[in-house]
Amino acid sequence: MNTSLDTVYLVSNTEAVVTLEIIIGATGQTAQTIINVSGGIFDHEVEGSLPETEIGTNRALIDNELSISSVIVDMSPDTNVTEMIIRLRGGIAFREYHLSKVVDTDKEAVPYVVLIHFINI
Amino acid sequence: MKKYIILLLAIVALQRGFAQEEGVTLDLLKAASSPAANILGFAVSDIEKPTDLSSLMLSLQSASNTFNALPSNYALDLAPYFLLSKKTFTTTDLNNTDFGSVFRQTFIISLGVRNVDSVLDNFKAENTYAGLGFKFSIIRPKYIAEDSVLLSSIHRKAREVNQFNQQELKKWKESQDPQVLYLRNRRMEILRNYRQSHTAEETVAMQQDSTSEYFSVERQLSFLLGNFTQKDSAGFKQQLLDQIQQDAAKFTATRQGFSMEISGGLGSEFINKQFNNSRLFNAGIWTSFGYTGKDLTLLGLLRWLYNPDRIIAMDNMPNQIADISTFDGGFRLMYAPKATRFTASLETIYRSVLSTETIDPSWRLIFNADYALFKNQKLTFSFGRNFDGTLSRDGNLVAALTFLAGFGNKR
Repeated sequence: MNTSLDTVYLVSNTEAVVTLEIIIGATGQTAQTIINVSGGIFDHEVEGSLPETEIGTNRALIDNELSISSVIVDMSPDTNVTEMIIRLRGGIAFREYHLSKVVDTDKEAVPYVVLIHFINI
Repeated sequence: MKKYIILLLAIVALQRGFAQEEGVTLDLLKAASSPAANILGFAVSDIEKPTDLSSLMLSLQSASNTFNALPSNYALDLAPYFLLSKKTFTTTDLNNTDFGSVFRQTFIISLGVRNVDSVLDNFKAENTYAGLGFKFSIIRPKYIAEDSVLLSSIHRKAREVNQFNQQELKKWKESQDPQVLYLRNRRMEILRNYRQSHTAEETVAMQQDSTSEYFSVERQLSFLLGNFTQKDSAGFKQQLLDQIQQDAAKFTATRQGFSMEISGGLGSEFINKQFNNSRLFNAGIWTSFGYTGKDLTLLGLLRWLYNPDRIIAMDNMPNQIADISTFDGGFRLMYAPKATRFTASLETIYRSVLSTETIDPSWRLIFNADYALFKNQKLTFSFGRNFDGTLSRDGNLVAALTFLAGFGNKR
């Protein structure tokens, strides 16, 4: 179970577009998320999941960072699982990152923090 | 004197008890929760409802003797979008009212197979029965205003926490902690060295290899990041998280507004258990709709059935007539304000047999009211027209009034 991630996503020196998708779980949970790409490239807030969204070209993202901060609230009466699945497409390869926490008490709110560095090597 | 009459009324009514409502059955028409299973006569508790592919496979494996035989008695409700899609639905999604979202979240396919040991209702032991059904909502109401306010409050407070954490992430990026610097530099060194002798795609694969040093370095960095952002010396973040938890505890997920649902199903009979010798056994399509308000609720049901196991138009008798179609409909208007002891309802039911003229259509209209005197004791009253056209009067208040009237008769 982990609610924090610091990782590297490899991108190329091309104009191909990179997309971001965030899936919040389990079904019935509530979330608010702030997404930011440094350099003023992308800034967004969303309630619930984020459908696949363009965040910039490979070239524009090189040496920038994607920071995601989210709070997921256990609203579901059926489960105490909170999870966040992050999908990045369009770089060197598709990557999926899975974070989760099972809360101890009902209705608990869990903060998640993610930092992804875009590197071209 | 008036006080004594009212007291006597209450005593007599209570002694007659709540059980004296046999004449009023307000749930004569019920929308089936599982269409195909209902057509085959399964109990709701016997219907499997797997929520993911793994539990679906386990359920099928158990029912089919590890995939060695067809299940003999098995009913299943599947929500295809939940099963096949990797997406989940948050509270925000579940509050959507557009048809696309509502259909995806409520669409259910119902499947069943049945074999009986001896004649049961219209089922024969020598035949096999299979059912297929569907159910989905067309209109789904939103959460009540109080819940919407709570959700807004939760989102607002979560946003404050996230804004705080965005600042923390900026500080983390600039961190000069020796351990963090070492791990960051080591990570880049591993990546660059590996990339020199491998392709970019192979480097990506190495990143995901849980046995690699890279994976271990990154896991340590992620752990330190978690510790860094959990620092909350002023308790500001924890205060907000606690407030969010309190708001979430008050959330009731109650919906208010119009709703409409459609269901249908059909059952096939395989004669002598031969798959190439089958006929339509029974079928049905029904819709339930209504309005749920704060104190007032209106519910309606329209239903067409082919070869039902019981015929509502014949006082729910078992169906012994071949190839029969029935049409039933009903409405119920209920008034039940909260924090009061009084509830009232008006119900009408229409029932008919379409495929024969020997059974006349009939209808019933009943008004029902009750007043809770104590926790488990109610004064009840019902009045209306029965299916046979006779006047219906029932409830323990009627019994009490009749008793008092008899007691006060002049001789």
